[in-house]
Amino acid sequence: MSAIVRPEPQAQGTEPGGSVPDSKVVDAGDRTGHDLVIDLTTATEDDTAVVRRSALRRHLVPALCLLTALALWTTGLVGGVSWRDMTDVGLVSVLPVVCLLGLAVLVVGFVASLAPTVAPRWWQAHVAVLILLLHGTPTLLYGTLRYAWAWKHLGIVDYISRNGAVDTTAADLAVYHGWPGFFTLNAMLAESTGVTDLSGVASWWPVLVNLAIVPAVALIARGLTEDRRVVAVTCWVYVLTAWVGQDYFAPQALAFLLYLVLVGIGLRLLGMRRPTVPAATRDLLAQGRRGGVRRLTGRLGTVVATGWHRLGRQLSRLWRGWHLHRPVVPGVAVLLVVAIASSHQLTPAMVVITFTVLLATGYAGTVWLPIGGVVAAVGWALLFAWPVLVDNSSEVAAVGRVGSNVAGTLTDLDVVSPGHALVSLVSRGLTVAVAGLAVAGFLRAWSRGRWHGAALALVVSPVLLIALSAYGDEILFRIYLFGLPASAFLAATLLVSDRGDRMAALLVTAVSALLVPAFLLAYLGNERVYAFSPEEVQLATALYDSAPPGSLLVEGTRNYPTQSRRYDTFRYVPIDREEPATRQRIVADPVGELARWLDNPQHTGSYLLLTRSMRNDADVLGTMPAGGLAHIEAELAASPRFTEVARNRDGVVFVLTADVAVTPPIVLPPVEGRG
Amino acid sequence: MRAQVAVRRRALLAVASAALVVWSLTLPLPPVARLLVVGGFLVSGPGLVLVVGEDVRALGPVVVVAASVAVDVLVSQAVLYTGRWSGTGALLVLVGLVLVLGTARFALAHRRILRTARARADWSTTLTSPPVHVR
Repeated sequence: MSAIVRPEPQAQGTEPGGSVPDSKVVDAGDRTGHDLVIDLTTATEDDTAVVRRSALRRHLVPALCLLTALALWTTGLVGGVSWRDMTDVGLVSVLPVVCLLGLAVLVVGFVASLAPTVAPRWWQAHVAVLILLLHGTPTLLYGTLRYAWAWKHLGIVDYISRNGAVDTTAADLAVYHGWPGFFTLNAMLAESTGVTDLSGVASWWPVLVNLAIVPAVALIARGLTEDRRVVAVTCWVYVLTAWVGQDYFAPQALAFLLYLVLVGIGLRLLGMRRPTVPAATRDLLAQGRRGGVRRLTGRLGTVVATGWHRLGRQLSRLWRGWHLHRPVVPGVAVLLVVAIASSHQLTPAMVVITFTVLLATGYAGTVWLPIGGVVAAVGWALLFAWPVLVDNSSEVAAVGRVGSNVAGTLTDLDVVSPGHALVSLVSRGLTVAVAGLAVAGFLRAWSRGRWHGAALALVVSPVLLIALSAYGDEILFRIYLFGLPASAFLAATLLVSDRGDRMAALLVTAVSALLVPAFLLAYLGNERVYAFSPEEVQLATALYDSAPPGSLLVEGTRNYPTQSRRYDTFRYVPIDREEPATRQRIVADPVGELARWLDNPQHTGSYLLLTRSMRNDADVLGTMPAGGLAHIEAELAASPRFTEVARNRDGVVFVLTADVAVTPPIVLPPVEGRG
Repeated sequence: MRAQVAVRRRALLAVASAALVVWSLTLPLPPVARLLVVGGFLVSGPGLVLVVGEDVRALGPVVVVAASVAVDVLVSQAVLYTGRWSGTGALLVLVGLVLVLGTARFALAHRRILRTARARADWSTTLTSPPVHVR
């Protein structure tokens, strides 16, 4: 039996342009299928008791599911996960089934928490636990910081702490010196607290930053709808589809958070206009509802007319100098724009594009934000990062080369291992699925007379980045990420907007059943490469602490806890980045070729480092012949021309035997973490 | 008045967190404990005194976190570019900023609350007291 409670104090299922239901269905738990209508103004004690019992049950289900999910996941992890044995499809290949069961229970709990009588804190708790399970598990298992780039960022923090300055002319990683906001913040944290090694903080960064990003996503969703369920499902879908991994210890994660809050401020405080259909287009809309060919032409006419109307209105306002009389930008927004401009290179461009599009389409009403974005970004680049821009003029020259910018981002599936190819395909499939859900959500809302123009603007704006730069072959990832909150919102409207509780629950469950495994593969599918053992950390740290400044470090690949200390004092030569002919020569004669490399009097010391994750990286990505690094290691270990100066179970450091006498000893510190 | 009470509460919280940071820096605490205190201050302290009450209600606590991080970034960079880098020094600048702004905001909000309360009390007295000619 269902009980319909009216009047409804909080409007459910309302969206801009939508209707406010005058009643709310409350499932009272009886399965007779009849609806019970309770008017709260005249309800008897028995009636309200029914509702209370129903509410109790609805609190119990999410609470129990939450606890069960946590218990199952913990049981799976405590039981032991041999993460070193994972295959090329990543962590999912070694995750116990009980962990996956925990995720399934969490999905059920989240769906139960969407019920109208359940307090929002329950769905929020489910999303928080989902973040903890998905992003905290690698840290719990490895006990170390994953992903080589995160270690490089620690190296920049270390540089600032040691030198008290930045060097925009540095030979390596100079770009971070030009936009050092994220690094100065962490250097301040490390120095003032006396924490000499920030890798512990950095390893929990994905959890922390996602816990901050999701409320920002909710803020944007609340700017687009008043439907609580849509906001909740937007956050849920966002977490399950943010697979591009830009949430690690990096400036872009921080800048992305600030960007989302800025967009939220734009939508909530800077005059978002509720979608209105101009009078001139109402006839076309009515015509579109009649069906057939006229329906299609009518709707297309509506789109065109609405677009022209908005654009014309905004342009006329700009022309009259309307905005000059309303320079209303919250102080917080100014702070955020300047902080973004000084912390990251791409995000300021995204700020300018987004707010220009929102302004032109009439959803955010001040011209000062894009102008402020341009001034801050260009001003910062000219004043503080000019040498970096000059050194990276090739990136600037890529403006407008759309084809090459796109091609650089995609993995060549013919080169990588079959497992990694599967992961890449699933990632692409997940991206297409999100786009499909968003398009379907947009069209469904449109067919019901709602125009989610602001969401559409937020999805489309990042696509303009494609003309700017390949951005280190990552531009498609960034476009996806910047458009994801609005895409997740449109997908959420498809799943729950204007739907009954049961249908919404069914759809959210079904889509989650597809998204959860896809996310596990797409986000945690490269863990065989990204995971570093405590022994690798120990070896790399000891090498960086012991090697004299000016040393040459020959590495199998760049994939290890790299450049985390005194990074500016060494020269790095990764074997896998050499020309193919050179790589083949090294594999054919490792001893002769590498001995020639290391016998270089220009350097104060010469080392060769090979680790487990380097071997995995080369094998998975196909940058070296299969087993190439293992072959090199075996050859060097057997050669009298090379001597091992440090070795543990996951790596080895070689020097030339002739140099052993002048090489400072490498003392391995105790291993920290879970091997 | 309710908004002013919220502003006063947030200012007090910010000042307290700044004081806690100073206290944690002077005591021989383990680095992890100090990290929690300082980290908590960095993600909330500056935002609590900079973001006004209406914005917090409309935008939620995430705007406090974002504003705090933005101020942290700008202050730490400012210290770096002055050429006298010190992580602790940058933190102390932030602490000073929060203490000054927080105290000022607290005092202003408190004064407004008192004024409103006094006005209400006066109005109430006016309504309840008998007319002068009766006395």
